[in-house]
Order: sequence, then C-alpha cells, then structure tokens
Amino acid sequence: MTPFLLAFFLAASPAELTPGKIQTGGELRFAVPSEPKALHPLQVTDESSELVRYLISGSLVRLNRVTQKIEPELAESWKVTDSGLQITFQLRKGLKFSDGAPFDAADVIFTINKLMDKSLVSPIAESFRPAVGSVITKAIGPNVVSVRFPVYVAGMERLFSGLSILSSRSPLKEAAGLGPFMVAESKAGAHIRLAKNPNYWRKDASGRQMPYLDAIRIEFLKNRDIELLRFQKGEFDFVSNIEPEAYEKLKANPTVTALDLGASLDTQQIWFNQTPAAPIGAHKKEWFTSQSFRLAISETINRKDMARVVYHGYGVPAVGPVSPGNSFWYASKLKPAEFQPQAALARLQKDGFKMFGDQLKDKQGNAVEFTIVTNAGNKVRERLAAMIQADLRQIGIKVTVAAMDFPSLIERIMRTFNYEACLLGLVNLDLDPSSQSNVWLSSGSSHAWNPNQKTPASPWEAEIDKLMRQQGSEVDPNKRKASFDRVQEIAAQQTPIIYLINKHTLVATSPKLKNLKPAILSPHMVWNIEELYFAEGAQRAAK
Amino acid sequence: MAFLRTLGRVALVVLVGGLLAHALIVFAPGYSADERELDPGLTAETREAMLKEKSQDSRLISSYSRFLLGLSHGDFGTSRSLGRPVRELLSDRLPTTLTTIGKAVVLGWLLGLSLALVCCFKTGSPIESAGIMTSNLLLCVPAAVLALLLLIWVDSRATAAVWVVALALTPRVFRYSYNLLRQSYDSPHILLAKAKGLGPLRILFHHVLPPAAGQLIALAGVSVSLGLSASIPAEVILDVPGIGQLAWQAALSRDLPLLVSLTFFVALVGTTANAMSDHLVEQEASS
Amino acid sequence: MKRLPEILLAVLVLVMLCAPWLAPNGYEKQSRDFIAVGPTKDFLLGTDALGRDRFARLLFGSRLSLLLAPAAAAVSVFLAAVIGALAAFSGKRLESAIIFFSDVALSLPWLFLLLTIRGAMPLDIRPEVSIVITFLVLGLLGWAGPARIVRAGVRLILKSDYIFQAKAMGIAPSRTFFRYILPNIKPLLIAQFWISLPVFILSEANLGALGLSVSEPMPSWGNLLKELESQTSALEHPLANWQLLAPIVLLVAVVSLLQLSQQRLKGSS
Repeated sequence: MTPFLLAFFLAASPAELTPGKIQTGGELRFAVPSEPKALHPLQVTDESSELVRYLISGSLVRLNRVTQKIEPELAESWKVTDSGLQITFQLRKGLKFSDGAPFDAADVIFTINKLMDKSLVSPIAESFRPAVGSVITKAIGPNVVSVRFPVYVAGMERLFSGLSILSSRSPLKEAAGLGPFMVAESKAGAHIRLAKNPNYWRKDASGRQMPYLDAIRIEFLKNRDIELLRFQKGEFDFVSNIEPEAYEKLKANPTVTALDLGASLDTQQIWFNQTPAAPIGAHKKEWFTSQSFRLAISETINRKDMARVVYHGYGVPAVGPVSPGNSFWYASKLKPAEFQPQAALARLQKDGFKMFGDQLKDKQGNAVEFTIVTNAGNKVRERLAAMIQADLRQIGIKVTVAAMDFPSLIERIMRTFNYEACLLGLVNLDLDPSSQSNVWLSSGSSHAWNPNQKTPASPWEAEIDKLMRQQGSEVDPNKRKASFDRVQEIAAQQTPIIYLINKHTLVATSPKLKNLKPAILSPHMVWNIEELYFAEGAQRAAK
Repeated sequence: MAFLRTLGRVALVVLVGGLLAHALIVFAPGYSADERELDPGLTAETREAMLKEKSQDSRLISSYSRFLLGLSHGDFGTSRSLGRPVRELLSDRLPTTLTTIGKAVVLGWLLGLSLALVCCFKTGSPIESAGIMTSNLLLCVPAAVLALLLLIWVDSRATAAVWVVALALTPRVFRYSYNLLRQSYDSPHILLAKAKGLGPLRILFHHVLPPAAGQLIALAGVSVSLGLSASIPAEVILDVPGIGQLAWQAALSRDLPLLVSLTFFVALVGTTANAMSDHLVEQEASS
Repeated sequence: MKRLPEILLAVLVLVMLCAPWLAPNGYEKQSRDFIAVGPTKDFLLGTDALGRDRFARLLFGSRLSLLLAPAAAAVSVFLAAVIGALAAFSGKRLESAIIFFSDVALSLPWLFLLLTIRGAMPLDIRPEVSIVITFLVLGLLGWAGPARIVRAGVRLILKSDYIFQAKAMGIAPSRTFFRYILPNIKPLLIAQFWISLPVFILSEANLGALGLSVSEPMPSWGNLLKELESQTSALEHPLANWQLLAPIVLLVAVVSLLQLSQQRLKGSS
C-alpha cells in the first residue's frame, strides 16, 4: 500500500466507525492470549493484567493513544517545577472509588508510598523508585498534591499515566478502583467479567453517565484461529494484533471491518554477540566486533522482500529502535539500510575476506559461518530466519538457524552468552526513549550485544552513554529529541543491532461497535473504553 | 494386605517420580531464566533476587524435602508463573480434565474395539482395509489439525477436546485389539468351534475374547496415561482450562512447584490405573 | 496383483531416491515471486510461505524420515519385548522393580531431558546427526507402556497348559521363550510397531519446536505435517487447498502399504 492510500484509509476508517446515536447497555466481548497474573494494580507484569488494570483503575493523567499526548484524568491540571524535580497535581473534586470511598490527595500519597516498598516487583514500581534518595509526597490541600523526585526524571507526567491510584480508606483496599469498570467475576483459566462502575466520575458532553457499556467479558484464548473463528461468528466484538495472513482473510469478509493502523512500535531485530566472555571462537568475535562486518550483513538482508513475503506488505523496513509509528521520537532523516549485496561483499573484501568458490573466508582462512538462535514456535520469526539464511548465502556466508524454547534462549543470551547471533522481536509499550535506557547504556542489563559493561567497550558506546544521560536530564523535549536522534544515528552507523521490520498493527471489529478510536498503542481498541457503545439493537445482554 | 502393599507402591512411585522430575526440571537448560528478564524496565537488583530464588532449587535434596514438608501440611507451594497456590490451580482444573479423559477413554475404547471387531468379522474384505487405513489416518493427523477440523462440526471446545483425546486413543486400541483378536481367531480351537457350527457371538465371548482379555486389560490401564498425555495438546490447542493446558504453561515457564505437583498427579492417576489393571490381570490369569 | 503393495512401495522409494532429478527446484530455493501459490507445471504441489517447492520438500523430507522412523520404532518394540518378557519371566523382586520403573517412566516430564540433550549438543549440529539423535531418544523412551502389555501377555501364556508341559518335559527356558512365548506375543509387538511409526514421525515434528530434530531449511516428514498445522485455519474449508494434504496422504499410504505387505508375508509364512 502506498503512503497516500494508507493516509486515505486511516482518515476514512474512524469516521465510518462513529455514526449514529449513542446507545447505552450491552456487554463487550473479546479475548486476550493469557490469563492476568495479578489483579493488584501495582503488581502488574504482564500484558493481560495491564489491560485489566487499565479498565478498572484510574490514573492522574492519561496518554491519548491516537494523538500520543498526555491528557488530564483524575488530575484536572499539573505543573512541573524546580527544573523538573517536582510535579504538582490539581485533583478533580468530589470523585468516588467504585465502592463509594472518597478520593483526594491522601489516596495519591498512599499510592506513591506503596510503590516505595522494595518487595514490589513490577515495571511501574521500579520506574518510580529512585536509585538514591527518596521520593517526597506532600498534600498542599485536600485536592492538591506535589511529588518531588531526588533526581530529574525525563517526561515525568508520562510516568503517572501508568500509575493506578489506590484508595487509602476503602475496606476493599486495592480492589476499589477509579476506572470505568470493576471486576465482577473471574473464572480461573477461562474468563474475567467486568461490570460498569456506578461511581465512575466521567460524564459525556450531554451530562450522561459514562461508560456506555454495561459490562465487558474478556476470555483467555491463546489459539488465534479459534479467536478469529469466534469473532466471525459474532461471539467477540473485535480482534487486535492480527497476523497478516489472517488479516487478508478477514478483509474479504463483508460482515466485519478490518483496519490497517500502520507501523506499530514493535521491531524484529538480529544482533551479534560481542560479549568478551562469550565461549565462542576468537575469529568470530573479531568479525562480530567489526563495524564493516555488521554493516555488510545488514546490507545483504533484503528487508523489502521480508515485508512483502512474510508480512504480505503489512510491514515496513525498520530504520532503528524507534518506529515511524512513534510520531515524536522517530528520526525521520534516517533511512533503512539499502539492500546491496555486491557492495557488502566489496566492503568485506576490503577487510581481507575472500570468496573461494561459493564460500566466503576471512583473512585467516576461516569459513564465514554462524548460527542464529531464535525462539521456536514463532512462525514469522522462523520465516525471517530462513530468508536471512538464503540472503546471506548469496555472499557465501553459511547460516544455521537454531530454534529453542524461550527459557533456554534467555539463558543463552543473558547468562551463559553461548550464542553467536540472535533473532528476536521487541514489543515496545512506551513512546519515551527513557524506557530504553537499559538497552542503550553500556552498563545496562538489556544492552543485548554486550551487557553490564563496567566501562564502555568502544568510543561509540561511550558516546551513546553520554547522549542517553543527556536526554535523560534535559527538560526541553526538543533538546531531548536532538540527543536521542544522535543515538539513533550512531546506532544506524554502527549497527550493533540490525533492525529488520516494523510490522503494521492490524485489527478488525464488528461494525456494530461504535466510537472506536483504534490506535497502534496498546490497549489498541479499548483505550477510550468509556466512549464505546453498540449500535441500536445490537447490544448483547449482559449475563 | 495386598491393598496396603499396592498403596505403598503407588506412594513410592509418586515420591521417586517427584524427585526425578524435580531433578530433570532444575538441571534442564533455561531453568534459571525468567521471561521477565527481557523487560528493559527491571532493575539489576530485581534480576539478582529472581536468580537467587531459583538457584536455591539446584540443591536437590534439601529443596525437595522442603517441598515434601509443605505437602505434609497440605501445602503444594505457590505457582511461580501464575502467582497462585498450586492446590487452588489443581482443584480448579482437575474436574475438567478428569471428565475429558474419562469420556475420551470410554469413547476411544468403544470406537477402537468396534472397529477391530468389524475388521475381524470381515477379514480379507475391503472393509478391513478401510478400517486399517482409518486407524493409520488417525495416527498420522497432527492433533492441532484434528482439533481445528472438529471445530467445524462441534461448537463446544470441551467436547472437541474429548474427541481429540478419544481419536488419539482409538487407533492404539484398534491396533492392539485387532492384532490380538486376529490371533485368537486364527488359533486351532476356534477353527474347530467354527467347524462345529457355533454362533459368531458365542465364539467371540467364549473363545476369542478370554485369551486376549489380560492384555486388553493391561492396555486399559496404560490408556489412562496415554489419555493424560494426549490431553496436553488437546487442551492447549483448544484452550480448554484443564490440567493439560496448565502443564504446558508450567513447562514453558519452568514453574517448579507446579510441575512437581503435576508429576505427582500424573504418577498417582497412572500408577493407580495400572495397579488396578494388574489386579484384574492376576484374577484373569488365576481363573 | 498380489504383489501390488510391494510394487507401489518400490515405486515410492524410487521416486524419493530420484528426488534431485524429479524436483530440480530443490528444497531450499526460495522463489519469492511465487509465494504460497497453488499447483502449477513448475511446482506440482504449489509453493510454501517462502516460495519453496512443496513437491521437492515432500520428496526430500520423506527420505530421512522413512529410514529412521522404522528404526526407532524397532528399537522401542525391542526394548518393550525384552523388558516386558523379563518382568514376566523373572522372580518376584525383579518383576516389582521393573513395574516400578515403568510406572515412574510413564509419569516423568521427559520434555526436560530432551531439552537437556539439545542443550548439550553444539548449536550448529548437522541436521542429519540431529534427527538421528532425536529418533534414537524417541526409540529409547517409548518402552514403558508397551512393556506392561507384553508382560501381561507373557504371564497369561506362562499359566497355560502347554508351558506346564514344556516345563515338565525339561525344555530349557530360552527354548520355551523362542518356541512358545515369542510367537504368542508377536501380535502385540507388531501392533506396537505400527503405532510407533507414525507417532514417532509426528513427535519428531513436535520436538522440532524445541530445536531438536532438523532445522531450517531442511524438510522432514515431521515438519511438513507441522506446517499443515499452521496452514489449517478454522477460517477456511480444509479441502480448499487440497495440495496441503499431500504429506498426510503420502504418510498414510506408505504406512498402510507397509502393513499390507507385512500381513501378506505373515500369511504366506
């Protein structure tokens, strides 16, 4: 699809989803791949729990998934002061938790104090706990609260969009929420049912109590085929993150609306093991730490073919860690690596590599071959691996693909470092580059190619370290962006990680569901859950 | 007395099975890994804590005796991947799987045995070849394909799961019983009985089935274990919340307390079924 | 026409051996402009998701599996026979020990042993070596269930009159075994063999999901059947793409033909 057509499609689709008069009532049904592991809003570690948390609790601010901007929620306004160390929220008045307990500054303070408990293991708790010093919270009035961090936190308000406010007074403790829904019933391994929160604070422009829906039923269903089958039978109201092949089939079905939302934040990537302690041959370490070797591999991989063959056109060649779907942070001047195997070969020959028949050898005469590890059972990734294998064969490089189950793979890439190259996908949930600090800082544990370094192993890694710290301590968003653009530029020049594809976010919905604003950011379909409603006469009775 | 001895044997199998399972899991690659580690949001401190918790389990005996000690208080431990008490998880899912396997074993035997009888009655005819081909087809079709095909006709996933397990057992029951019955039918005294003009049902119940009975009973015992293992793919593919699905999730996340408890369960059910069939075989042999 | 099964089998084996000439596309060539197309003159069974010739993959994939699966099935049947007979024949102690171990073996999560074996092998192990190891492990692990059934069979025979007579006549136990017992448990062993053959081929595919067995781009019967899983979709009628069923049809045909010729051999002996 050309960019023009895509733009047309995007502009056309939401309008189509929103006509008609608002109706209340009905039960929304959809499926998630796994059961939520934690219903405590501060202990969320997995996607399903995050979704349920989002639906049943309220936060001070909310990220608009379409505009990608922070908007007021429980706080009607906020102000960042003291060169970014302090944030002060003005809370809405008269709000109530789902059980009727009142909401005020005490609840915010209570929630933040809870996060400081070191035994709490969850991304939200860890992002709030500073490495040194402590967070000071203060109620300036019953509806004004200030939070002060010991060190500067870039894009601080963003942090609060993921923080569910707990009640300090409710006897239900964390089960009392400020979200549009509340848990009504949960059947282990099967489904969870949410009912409308009668005390939800938001009313629409005409003064009508939100949310419009009566209930939500979320089923736990791993098998995508069955999910799609039931969606087409009308048992589910939407499906998100559809595989391209299934999307094409849905597009042909006139009773459902299939939507291509464009490039998602997710990436597929391959990197070489540059860890000094890795138990692999010295000559291989020499290749993997050579910039021209990595560039040559990157230039020999045909990303356009990948997008066309594996993603049926619903994917774009990736440029770097930030996808074009991230409107602010994407480094638009960078281009994906050109597919030019002959130039890549010439580059390698300049380094002393030579072709012998159809086999490339390095200057010591070692045949150039390596193994790519990846996780088994992922159809898309297995196909990408087979394509890389065929592409690299063209310049005489022999690639073996070793698929293994996830725990074995993690052990190899994070503990024993007994691997040569790894193909993996990364799901990005956060727009802000600070969430990638652990990936780009050379001391980071997610610095995939050579983690936990005491001092940067190369000058360019040292420069990235400096730039990452800079963007993390800067208040002006544009200056932050300049620093992170430079990080992306170095990453493209050095290619420690070879980015392959950003897949499109593909979704489909029943035309009866109205007011949807599908977004590439999760929760794609229900981020504006309080506004969704069913067309007249299409409400499913809540059981 | 014999009953007590059997009980003791079952208990021993369960205990030794649990210990070996514990060892297999802890020493397999990936045990110390945790999927959450890939999350760039976790601090180094948290990673350390996660690793430490798991490294304790590699001291096999002390870790296993701690598990047994908990068990003696009725505590199966807490699932690491699901964060819930193992006992709760098992008791939630047990009824589903036991029903599935119970129905499937009966159905699988009905189908397999009747197919075998038809084939034996119609030796040499195309019906026999068709029966053999059907059983081969059932063995060759992957469970996932079978499950998706079944969904075209069956709406309930639980029912589809019963069929998947039953159709996995059918060819096995068929193959054994067919071979055994054929052998029985070919033996001299049956030929004699046929020559004497005895009715086919009389021949079947008085002369053909008895010599094969012992082995078929042993197969019945083993088919409970077979049904249990077939329920894993069936429940995973069809997303039926039973023990099989739980076992698969536990294996992928190396959930030690859950996996050891599941081994206990499999050993308990399988060994009991085998002990019962052994008992019946003994009676058959001494009668 | 009586030799039809053998003739058909011979033709199939010949076709597989001639794979390089019959399917000149080879099993790994990716024709990226022909993705998942239906049967054409160049691609008799169409192409897969990467544009590889299905026909070539089927022929090449059948070669190793057809050789190794029967071997593995034979290993497991042999072990079941020896262990089962030993249990029935030997004294009370050894018998309880064998029953005990078979019960334990039926309860263990062997998956983790397979993972350990894969972990111990080098990452770039040759696919041929890997698949041999996989089938060997399958053969070695499959004894417990059938051994119990064999034991039950042998015990019944031991109680029968003619064994008493043989004992009374002072015939050596080994002779008793080969003369009277083995022929009587043969149907069991043959049944086990025919069950194991396709089951092992499928297991090989499932183990592929753990990185055991062959890796890309090499085809095996197992991974062709596995591929069928990803292509059978509840959204589509199963017969919409009949060419996808070719691996199942071929496997059922080969197994059935083998059985028919075995029965004929038994009948004529």
